[in-house]
Amino acid sequence: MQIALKRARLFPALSILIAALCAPQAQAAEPAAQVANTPEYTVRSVYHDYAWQAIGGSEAFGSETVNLRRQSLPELEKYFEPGLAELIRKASECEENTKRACTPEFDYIFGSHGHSATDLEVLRASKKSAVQVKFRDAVTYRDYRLAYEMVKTSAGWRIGDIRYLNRKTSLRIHC
Amino acid sequence: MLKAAPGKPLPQSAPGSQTADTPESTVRRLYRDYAWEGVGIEVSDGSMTTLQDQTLPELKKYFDDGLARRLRADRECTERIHTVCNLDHIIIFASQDPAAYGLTISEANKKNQVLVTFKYPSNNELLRLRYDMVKTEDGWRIYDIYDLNMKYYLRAGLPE
Repeated sequence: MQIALKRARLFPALSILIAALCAPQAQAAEPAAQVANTPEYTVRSVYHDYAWQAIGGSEAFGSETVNLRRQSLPELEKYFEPGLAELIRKASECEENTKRACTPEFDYIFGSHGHSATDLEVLRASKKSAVQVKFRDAVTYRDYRLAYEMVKTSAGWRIGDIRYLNRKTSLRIHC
Repeated sequence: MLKAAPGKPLPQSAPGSQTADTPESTVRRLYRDYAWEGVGIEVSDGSMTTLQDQTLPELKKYFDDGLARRLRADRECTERIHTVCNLDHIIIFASQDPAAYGLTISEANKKNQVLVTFKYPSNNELLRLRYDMVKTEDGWRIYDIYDLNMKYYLRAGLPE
């Protein structure tokens, strides 16, 4: 699949300037408290914290950087609702004990095996408790689409399931 | 991370323990914490702050005092005069439109240097950045970044 070339490297940086000048205004336009208490915020958080898995993975970051799949229950519960967090943790323990994959081997938040993602977007879906994520695999140029089903918990919005639209399956089905 | 109370912007350090203090561990931490800039997540809602928009204390977690101050001064200049002052690109991805895959972080020839390589998706160009590190009382920090492709020293492009 052909994709449009990005702007040349080190070309006069309109995007830098726009980011620098517009970010404070955007923040003011939508109060931070409102931003934080949304389903999109939680999804954006998980990509913010684990984007490194898509540019280099464990090969680049070493064993001291723990990927989402192997995280502790408290860390998982920052993003996932308690039931799904528990399932993910159990799957991780199963993999440690049996030395084989107990859930799909693809990356949970990228839905792919490769360590490459670009043009990632987190979008509000028409249904309030749903968030859509799309990105392009930087190597194959394949487009991926994920549908997050969010649950409001006492701790805030958490991920109840991730549906991998390209694979026609979901995280919860496999955990 | 969502430890933050509602209304508080996302913390800038992602989870994951960092035990060793080596030149590579500082560079790894930098890419771990700001990898999100390389996958294109939008920042328009104000919940994330890019590396080059960061405060001086945040910059000093990765850069030595002199380079952190120069970076901060450049961003303040841009905000003041509403145009690019010196930096016209995202420094850790060597691009104004950051994207990367196949990242590697390794020791370079000298002990105080770290080599970072990655590919730029749209043309598969292999980009190589050499990080010149300095040991400070807070640990290893970045003194300079040399773009091996563009033959460009970051520090030289930023006035004191």
